[in-house]
Amino acid sequence: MRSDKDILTAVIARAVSNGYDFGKNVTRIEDVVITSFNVEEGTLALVLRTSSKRVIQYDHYKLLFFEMSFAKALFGADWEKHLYELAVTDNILKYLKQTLTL
Amino acid sequence: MAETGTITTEQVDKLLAKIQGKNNYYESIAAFLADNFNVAYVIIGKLISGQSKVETEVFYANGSTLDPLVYDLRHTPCENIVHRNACFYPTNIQSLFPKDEELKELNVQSYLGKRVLNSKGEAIGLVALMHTDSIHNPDHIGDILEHLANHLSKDLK
Repeated sequence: MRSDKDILTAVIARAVSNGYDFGKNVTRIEDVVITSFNVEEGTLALVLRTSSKRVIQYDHYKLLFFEMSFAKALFGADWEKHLYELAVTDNILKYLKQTLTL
Repeated sequence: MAETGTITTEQVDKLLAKIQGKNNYYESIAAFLADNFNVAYVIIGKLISGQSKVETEVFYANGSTLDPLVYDLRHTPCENIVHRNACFYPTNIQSLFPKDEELKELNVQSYLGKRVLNSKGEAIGLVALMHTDSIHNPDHIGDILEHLANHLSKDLK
């Protein structure tokens, strides 16, 4: 069974492969490393392998999904509908796992 | 429920040309956005304290301007705005940010915010819309805020 971190990694990989740019032209999943992810507390830290190593820390990983360009890259044309669903679900990872073929 | 209106970039440019240099510059922009997009609240602010706080240039609420304030970005919808281009929370935002008391007090349900970058690509501010119902047509609003943010990059210092 896939862990929560595996699911999140696959989700980020999909968004990146669909054109999401983490900034500084970080557009390859190989350049994005999840260094910590606590699903209960929701905290997430990403390291971007750029020329000047950059760390992005989220107090809650859900913030990632509500960036419009991330949602568009992840869900495509139906992004707005999925964002509504993400806003009301009590388990974002479960929703993503059920909705996306990861 | 009020319909979300549409604005053209030409209308934005016309407004900005008309109000440039006036005392009510930010208030006029906020009122314009609130009226046309049918939202209750508009914030235009600059990032301070190492990009961890916002100092409002205008906080427009239900047709009035609130006193300027400084607030911490942590646990608010604007958190991580430095790293995120435009954020959209279509509904249920109080559940998503339970530690943000302002959202409860203002009965905010939805949020659409865009960061403002300077010429070096650094985040220096934000423009955000909040509403007591869902915000519709986020693509159009996002495009207009993007256009506006490009102008504000010269003004927010």
